[in-house]
Amino acid sequence: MNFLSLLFFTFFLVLFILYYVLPKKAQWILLLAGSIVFYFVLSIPAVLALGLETLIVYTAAKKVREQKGLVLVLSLILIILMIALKAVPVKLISSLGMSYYTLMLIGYLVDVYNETVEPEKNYARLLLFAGFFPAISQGPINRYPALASQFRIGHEFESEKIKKGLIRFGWGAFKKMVIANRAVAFMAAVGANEKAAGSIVLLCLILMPLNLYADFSGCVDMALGIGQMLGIDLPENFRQPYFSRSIPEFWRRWHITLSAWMKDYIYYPVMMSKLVKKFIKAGGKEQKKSRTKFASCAALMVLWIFMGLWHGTGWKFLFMGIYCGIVFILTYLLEPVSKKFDESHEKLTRTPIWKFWQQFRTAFLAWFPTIMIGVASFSRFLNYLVRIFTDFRIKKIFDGGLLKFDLNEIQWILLILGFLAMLVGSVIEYNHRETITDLVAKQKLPVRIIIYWFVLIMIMLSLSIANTEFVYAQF
Amino acid sequence: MKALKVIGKVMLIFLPVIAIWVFLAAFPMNYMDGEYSLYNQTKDYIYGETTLEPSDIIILGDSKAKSGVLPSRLSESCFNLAQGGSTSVEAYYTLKNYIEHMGIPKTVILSESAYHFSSFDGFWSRDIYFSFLNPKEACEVIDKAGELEEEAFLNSNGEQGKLTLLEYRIKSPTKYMSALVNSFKEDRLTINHSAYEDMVNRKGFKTFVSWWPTSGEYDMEHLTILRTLDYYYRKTINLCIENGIEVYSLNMPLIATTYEECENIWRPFSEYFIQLKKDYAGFDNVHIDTEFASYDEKYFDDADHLNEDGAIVYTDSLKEMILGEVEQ
Repeated sequence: MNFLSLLFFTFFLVLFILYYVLPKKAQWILLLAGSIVFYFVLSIPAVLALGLETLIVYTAAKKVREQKGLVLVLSLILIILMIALKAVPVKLISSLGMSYYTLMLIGYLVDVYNETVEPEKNYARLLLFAGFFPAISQGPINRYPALASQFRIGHEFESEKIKKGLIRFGWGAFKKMVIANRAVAFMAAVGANEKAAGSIVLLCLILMPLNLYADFSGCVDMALGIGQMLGIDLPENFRQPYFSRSIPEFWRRWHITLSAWMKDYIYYPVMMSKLVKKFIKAGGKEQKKSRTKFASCAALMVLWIFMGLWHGTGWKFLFMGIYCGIVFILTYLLEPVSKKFDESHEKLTRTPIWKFWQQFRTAFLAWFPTIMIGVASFSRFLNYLVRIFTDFRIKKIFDGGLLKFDLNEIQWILLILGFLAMLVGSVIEYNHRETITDLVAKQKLPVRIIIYWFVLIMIMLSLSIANTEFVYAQF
Repeated sequence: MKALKVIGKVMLIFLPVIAIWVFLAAFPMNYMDGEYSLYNQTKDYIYGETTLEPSDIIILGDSKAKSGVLPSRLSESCFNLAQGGSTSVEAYYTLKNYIEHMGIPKTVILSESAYHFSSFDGFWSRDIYFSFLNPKEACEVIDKAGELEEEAFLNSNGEQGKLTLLEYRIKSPTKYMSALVNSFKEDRLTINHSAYEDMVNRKGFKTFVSWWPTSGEYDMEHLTILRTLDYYYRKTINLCIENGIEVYSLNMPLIATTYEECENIWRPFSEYFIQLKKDYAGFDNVHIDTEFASYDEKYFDDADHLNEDGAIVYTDSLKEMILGEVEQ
């Protein structure tokens, strides 16, 4: 069920009314029923897969503290199953949403094992945690203690929270409909045209990260908005990633919940494992530093390869993981050099130009992985590069050639306007360290009305472009 | 009081949505594409909402028929009610409404190309989009297609039957914003008014130039006559029989090369009309043409449609045929 469909609006309206009419104790049951209905509409086999995986984890969680190897074995089985289902299109067991809830359930299992969380006694509550409908198909990846505790308490009808939820939803819809849908239409048209000039292909490649950010963060904004309207806070997944000044910072701002999950459940466990400890110890005091660095690099590579495979099993995702791993490791290894440079050139490194250069450099380095998600295959990416270098024809951008790729002049103007609005919103969020939702909600009514009207008119005008599925729903 | 304030605020916030929606519903001539005025003029005429007199001869069919028969050349009392992208479905309801509001014509010329026997073509994108068919008529078609297990053909563009029908009916922005956005590029009100006037002045005649290079039939691997479209074709003929109307089921001329290259289509199509002729053999007022005339390329605007010179030649031959038979 797409968040931007008439079916979803009807579904949510009914659920919303019932949610605040029902006794507070029954709210979580309604959410569970609603989540099953939501997921059922998406895919019937997916509901069964979710129920089964939750049951396995629910049963294992009760025994995981006694049988210590269980957590590792089961986690590996679930991960392999999740990746295998991406590679083999098994119709019987749908992998839809599996990437998200598998990580959430593994996280829960590890937390139970580490005794930071008590095993859930009620299977239905664990099922709601794994399958909570706003986050089921595209995240954010929730942690059990934070989310489950919110299902245990009743939620009052709070108009302020609902208002903020609506604004957040509207802002997400704006990003998806005004920017992402248009960019996708253009990218698809370029992808379908083998004779597109290199200049147009380059523009398409430039638009890919923009589209991915608008699509994915828009979807998460909608998920967070829906949660807010139900009184449930979901974790932030983006914090203006394209203003990051280094690659590690970029990954702390992009798909935050996935990066944090990888760090907590892959990187740290690998680093704390007996094998790694033994390896570091074996080198003695002299080699401790270098061996720790080496182990850290190896753990980072494992993490990034897994991150790549989490997105899919094609070569492009493997390359994406390896590329990110190399860039991340190089940044890590060069950190002392970079720090030294910053200290010795303080005057330069404090200027806005230097800051902009760092942001541009980071955005450029982060460009490749987003392209890998956007292009159909690695060979298609190579084909694009060949066209850029052998058949550039810059005049095609200006002589009307650009308008032959599904977007006419008006659609381009609306896309640019939408992009500028998103940029302004991001700059304001970055400078105020607050979400745009909270900032808008604080404004006086006339200012709010102008913002609402702009967003609504832009969304209305974007109904002229076909609504596409969310990019991250495939992962 | 508090509730009223909240309602007021909500109305204020959603004012642009309301305003755009009202505009979409109230001013279609301002934003709909050029073909809207063609459908609209036909609708106005058949519902008796113009000052135009009823016609003795009416032409029903698709764009080939619209560009193929010059009403003013055929008869003083003739109107071309054919529509681009239309099938026997539109032909039937056009005739039905015409009889209801304008009276019974003496002669009906009916012509659908092979493509319009194998595709519902403009059912959603024109008939429903332009509100040419009313909800009752549209539901009848949807039900009939369902009964004959042809919903997949009817809803081939992802439309969802009666739910989609409702969206069109309430002029939902989800369906009409594309047209509104495209109308920013050109003065569609003037274009539509001019096209409407042209329809009135030329009695429904219009030439077409398609954007595709080949004939609609050219890309078809084989001919599949949809049961629903056969049903409505026969229903149209039956309506003529019930009302004592002289009906001519004709095939518009083709370019000679198209005829040769699409023999896999024309041969079974011709067989369909041979069968139809047999089925209506007992009715003197039903004339079914089973042949396909081929004209020189110079008489065509594109791979499908006759140009004005072609229409003159064809209309003259038609006049001879109809008047000859009438005189007998």
